[in-house]
Amino acid sequence: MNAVVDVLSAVLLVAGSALALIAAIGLFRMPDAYSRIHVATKPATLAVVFTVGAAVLRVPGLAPTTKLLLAVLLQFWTAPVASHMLGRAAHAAGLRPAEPWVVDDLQAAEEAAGEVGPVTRDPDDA
Amino acid sequence: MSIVGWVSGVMLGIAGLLTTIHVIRARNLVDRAVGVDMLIAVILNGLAVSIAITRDDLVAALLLIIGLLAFLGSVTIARYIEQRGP
Amino acid sequence: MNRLLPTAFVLIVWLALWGEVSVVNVASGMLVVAILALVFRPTPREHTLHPLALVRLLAVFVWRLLSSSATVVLTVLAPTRARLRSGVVGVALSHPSRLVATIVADAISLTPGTLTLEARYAGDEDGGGDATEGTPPVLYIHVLGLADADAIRDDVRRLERLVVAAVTPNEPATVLDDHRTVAGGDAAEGRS
Repeated sequence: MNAVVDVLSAVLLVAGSALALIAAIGLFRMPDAYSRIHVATKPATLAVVFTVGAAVLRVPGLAPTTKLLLAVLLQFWTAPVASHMLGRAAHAAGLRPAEPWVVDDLQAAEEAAGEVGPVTRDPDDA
Repeated sequence: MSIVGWVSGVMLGIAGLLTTIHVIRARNLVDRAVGVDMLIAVILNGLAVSIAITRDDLVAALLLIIGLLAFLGSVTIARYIEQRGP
Repeated sequence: MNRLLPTAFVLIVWLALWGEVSVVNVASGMLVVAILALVFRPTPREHTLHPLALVRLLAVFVWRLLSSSATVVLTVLAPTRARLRSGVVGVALSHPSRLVATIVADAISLTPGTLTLEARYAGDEDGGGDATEGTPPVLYIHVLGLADADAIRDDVRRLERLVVAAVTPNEPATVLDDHRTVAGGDAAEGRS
């Protein structure tokens, strides 16, 4: 039984670290800020879930388990909010995507409402 | 298990290095904010790996608190960017 | 009964933070709950919770998260033009409930590949509507790897149905105009 738990935990650890590495690579390969938000925040959250799951399997006792489970729940709860706010801020600040968006309903809605004009800032091209 | 620890550690170390380079090279504030959020996720991963390998729960509370504060920081920077631009 | 759920929740979180269920922890937890109850007024309950549907919703969340992470891994390791095509799709929800819209937006932001950028409510200039607004919001969702905008819209509406099954809005007590009911009339048709 212990061996199975250890193997499962090892798999989760490696999977989580690999996901974090892929998220970091994604930061470099994505062309604009919006896709970077997609690639960097969400797989990193899943990676934390995996590694904390591995830790829950390995650590004895109830006290640290509940703390770790709370930490996972917190990540689940707050990561989407943080990435949404960053995306919203990027759009409100006027960051332009690398290629023009295929479908852009928000632009249409903003123009209809007569708000600030089209997205105009210099494209970021890190 | 120690092999797993080494492998995970190396992967997370490379991830942290790449993210730091991205934070330094970023041209606008949104990219930097995303990079910092990602760095903190790598730190959380590292803490969790250390708990799993050493079976020592010393840093469990640290995990929780850093997660909370990272969220707070991200949201604050996002509000700032909304009002002041990247 | 109105206060039981948040009370129990705070107590459980308190106990989880301390890590053990002992007399001291439960007593201090009760004290914290009492202080919070004095400081924060309870809000009127506008939704009913259905636990089974909630569990189903959580299972759907987890599945979406796992399957879209695979897509994101592909996008990073092998970025093709098709995978990087992005767009902002506007989806009109069918319930005016703010809570439902928030949960849907949250679920969308959680799954890799889609990110809620904005939510707009009709007649709402500065983005801060009040709770008694009756119009369903429109979510603007940034999609990475956009193939078909209508598929996204269908997906979002399916998600909204799942959320409504879990936290069903109660019929509001007030009616805006004599001929225009807020959610009372539409909720029956919106739920399918």
